[in-house]
Amino acid sequence: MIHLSVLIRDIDKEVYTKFKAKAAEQGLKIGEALTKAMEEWIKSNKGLNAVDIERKKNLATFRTIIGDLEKTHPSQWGLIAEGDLQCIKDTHEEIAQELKNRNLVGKPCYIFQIGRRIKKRTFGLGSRIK
Amino acid sequence: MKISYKKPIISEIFAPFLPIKIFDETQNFSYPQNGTIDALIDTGYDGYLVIPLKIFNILNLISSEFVKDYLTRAETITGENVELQTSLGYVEIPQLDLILSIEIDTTSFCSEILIGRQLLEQLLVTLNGPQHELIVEK
Repeated sequence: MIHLSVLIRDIDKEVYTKFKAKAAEQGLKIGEALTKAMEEWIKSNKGLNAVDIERKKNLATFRTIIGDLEKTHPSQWGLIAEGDLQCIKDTHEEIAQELKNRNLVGKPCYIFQIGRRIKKRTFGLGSRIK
Repeated sequence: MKISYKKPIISEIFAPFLPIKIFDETQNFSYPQNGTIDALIDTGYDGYLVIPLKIFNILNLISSEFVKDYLTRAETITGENVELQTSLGYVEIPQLDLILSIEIDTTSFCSEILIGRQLLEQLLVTLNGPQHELIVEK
């Protein structure tokens, strides 16, 4: 087996900290634990369906344009579908109307208020999340 | 409005449920189509509403989904990450003659509709434990 040394960017700090602690708990080096995790991920990762492909295209569009939109249209609402920015409106109700007008209902679309992140969610132990 | 506690799907302890109707962002689709469905009040969940993936799909909520880059993390109280999809939609509480714009979460692990604290913040809620009664007002 050939072992590589790689530099990986954009890893979530919180996830990495937990991963590192878990690896240490089991007496594994980070590289060993990461190799196991990657093997598991490859095994469990099914191929993308048409909806997933569409969502990925929409996400790529979002990532390309969001930097400029945050400067030029803060707080307005955007709609991305079919890999394109469809429109920018003042309210989400107007975006809903555009969804109907453009026959996009049922298709994967991203709606977002420019610059606004959704608050973190926490599920308590009583939740029906199994 | 006073509603007696009911028995949840998986717990043996009677709990407060609120009858609701859920709509997609365009209000073209509703769940259920007729009448209401009982949603469990869960103060341990801090979102608005979490629904099973099957209902999320029936409502076509994939058309009003938030971009995952704008979603912060979702986790259980024990620190486990939860893979979440969140969309815009509406919830109706017919007995209060109330419709609210909300964020609707789903995850493949969700088996029961839960009402969380951000939705409860829009209502005056009293839990009468001894009487097993939920009291909800606008």
